[in-house]
Amino acid sequence: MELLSNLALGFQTAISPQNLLYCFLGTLIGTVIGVLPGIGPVQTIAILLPTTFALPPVSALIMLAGIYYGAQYGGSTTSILVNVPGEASSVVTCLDGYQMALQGRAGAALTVSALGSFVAGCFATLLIVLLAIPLSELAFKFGPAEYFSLMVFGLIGSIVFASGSPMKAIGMIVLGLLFGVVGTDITSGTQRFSLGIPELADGIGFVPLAMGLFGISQIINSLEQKEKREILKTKIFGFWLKKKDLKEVAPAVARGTLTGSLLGLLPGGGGILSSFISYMLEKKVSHNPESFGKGNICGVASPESANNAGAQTSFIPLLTLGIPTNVIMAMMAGAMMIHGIQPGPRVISSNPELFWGVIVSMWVGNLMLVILNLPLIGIWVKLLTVPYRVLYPAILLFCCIGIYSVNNNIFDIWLTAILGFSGYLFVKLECEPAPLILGFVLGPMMEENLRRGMLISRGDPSIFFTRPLSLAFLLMAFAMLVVIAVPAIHRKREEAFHEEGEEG
Amino acid sequence: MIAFRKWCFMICIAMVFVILGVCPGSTQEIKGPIKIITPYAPGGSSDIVARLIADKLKDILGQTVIVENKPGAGGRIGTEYAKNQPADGSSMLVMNPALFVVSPLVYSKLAYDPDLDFKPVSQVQVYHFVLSIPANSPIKDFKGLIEWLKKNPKQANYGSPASGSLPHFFGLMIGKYAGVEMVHVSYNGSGPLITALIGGHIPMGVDTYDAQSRYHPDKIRILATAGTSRKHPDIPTFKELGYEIEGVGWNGIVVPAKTPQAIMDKLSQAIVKVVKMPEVKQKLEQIGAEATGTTAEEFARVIKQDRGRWGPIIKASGFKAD
Repeated sequence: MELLSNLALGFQTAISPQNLLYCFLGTLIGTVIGVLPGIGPVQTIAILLPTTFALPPVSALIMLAGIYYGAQYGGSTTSILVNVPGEASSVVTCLDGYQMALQGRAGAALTVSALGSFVAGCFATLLIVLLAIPLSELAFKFGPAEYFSLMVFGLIGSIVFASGSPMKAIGMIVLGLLFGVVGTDITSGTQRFSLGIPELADGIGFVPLAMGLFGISQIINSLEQKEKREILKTKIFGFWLKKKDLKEVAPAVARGTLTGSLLGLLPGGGGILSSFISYMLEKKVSHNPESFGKGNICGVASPESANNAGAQTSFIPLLTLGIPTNVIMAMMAGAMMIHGIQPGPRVISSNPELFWGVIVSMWVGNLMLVILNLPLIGIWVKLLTVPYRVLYPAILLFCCIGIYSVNNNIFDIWLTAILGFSGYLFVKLECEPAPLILGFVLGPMMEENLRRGMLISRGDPSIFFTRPLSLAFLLMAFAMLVVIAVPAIHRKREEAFHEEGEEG
Repeated sequence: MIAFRKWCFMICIAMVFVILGVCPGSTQEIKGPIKIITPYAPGGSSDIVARLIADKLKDILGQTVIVENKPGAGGRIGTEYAKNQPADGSSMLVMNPALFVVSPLVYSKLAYDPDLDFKPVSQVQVYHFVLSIPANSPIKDFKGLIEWLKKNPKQANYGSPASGSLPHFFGLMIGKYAGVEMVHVSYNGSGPLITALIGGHIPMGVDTYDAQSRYHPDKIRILATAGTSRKHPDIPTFKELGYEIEGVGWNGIVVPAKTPQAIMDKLSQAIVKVVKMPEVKQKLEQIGAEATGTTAEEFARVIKQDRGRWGPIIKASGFKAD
């Protein structure tokens, strides 16, 4: 009954008053930024990363995780009421959610998205509990060859699943890889591209990079645009679901949860991809697919469950293998490393209270979110009226304090300013910064493992092809390349992404 | 009468001088707040040392003592920062062999000179390096390992937590004494090194005793420790095995070079007193170290001795950082 004692440890950690508070704060912030269009969990976590520095690592991760899945809840509110996705992963919820609201069923749509998310959150938490230990045992089988091949797979995955032009995605990944090269080479200890600046000897900092590319550039970009938000004026009522609705929705929630849980495990996966795929799936299995886009309740239930499930299961590769599969997970890895915890299979044994505490907190947080999102809906609707010219300068100020506090060094603020400006240029050029961040995080790990593998094999590259796990990853990576190349699938992919504004 | 007054006055003056002379502290008062600069991020061993000392030092010196983390560039940013702080006893630096023994040898342009810019105050703690292998390996002891390495020279790879670290060079030292050519494979810290060892992806690891023994003691076998005395009753030292090699790292405190001698003495005495406290000793043991609390002279000797010990190995390795 090791599992039970682990869960007990998790509960003990997660429901300590302090951690409950941070869990609540995280889910609250998550809901707020989920509701507000234009600012999502990526930007928020990037901005809050340095402030978590002062917290114990468990509390920090509990809060950051709460922001991520909290945003999945909050995003749907704006989609349903304003027809603007509060959050990239709630894009598809607009299609049927807003239609439902127009038909006077806003209450039912909000309820179904909150409850669907809750069911999905509970299931995904359970899945993490069950899979974590076996997967982390498997992780010990990962040598340099396996890690290298897995990262090749991950990088190619992030091209396939990136929105917009694959060429631009490749360009951003390469740029990320180049950024990752700056600093001290782990294998030889030599300085590379540090321009004689001692601050660059450790490489470009993750916090300035993430905050610059996502936070600052988003702020500049939002201030530039005119605010245009129309809020549904009618009163929201009818939160209770009818029996007929429940019957219809239950299987959709189940399908969404399963789809999301699976996709969350894949590189490049997470909330956004999960919601898109599950919407398409729902349309496929439905008896009357033509009702989708006209206020079908399953079109809300399934993607909303899927994005929450995907958001949570994407923690599994990070916590067990130490590999971030999407940008948010890359930031979680950054948060762990700030606290001196190297993400990977050893986390379970070296920091069990952190590992189980964070997992249990996800369940606790989901419970909080249902309470936050249903009875308090009025507050969130009000929130949509806060002008950005007030909100953003305040955020910017906190950014600067936060960045300085990581290394107590002014250099980092300059670096963030430069990177923030480049991030703005990327937005103008319609280049997604997400692949850049993944390239930046995975690149050095990939190089490290490539060279480690070559050192151990004394220069024989066959090590990457003769080990079965490694070979399997390389073959899967190759298969994904084919996916990009084949035109038919290419078109499908474009359809799926064409409405999506941003990657998160 | 006037003579008597004059006499009284002179006695008073004399007494003032006597008091000043008897208590050197009163002329050499350290102006607080005192800061202990840690050139690394919070949480590491340097930071723990700094915080332990700061906590006790404030009672002894009657001053506020704060810890300032200045991480970056493997500690070189914080060290350079410390060099430029006022030399009046209000600034100290926690340092280690990487900054004072290795860096001067591997960087052609170093922003500080360990000897000209700083003066040693006290060595606080020592930690032993170890050689370890996966516990499921058929090899049982160091002798068996050397036999195996001689038969399988292509597998003579060892991992260390960082390139250019003392464990990196200590691995080379082991190879030299054992007559085996060892290939160094660097990992990104102790965690990934241990994961690789447990998974059997690298046959040997060189790291600190604490890192290798704290987690998974059932999955990692430490073959020998590199201090002068045993770290664990069942694990021999290299010296006991007949290899005259010693590999220890340490943390110590230095001050900017222009700090007056009287203040230095005062700080040194206070720090030695702190390190000898049972509570502090116990806390240092918890992180796998041994409290030393040496005098300034002894510490200077240690630094010199370490340069003699590591210098030739580092130079022979051809390792250059820039």
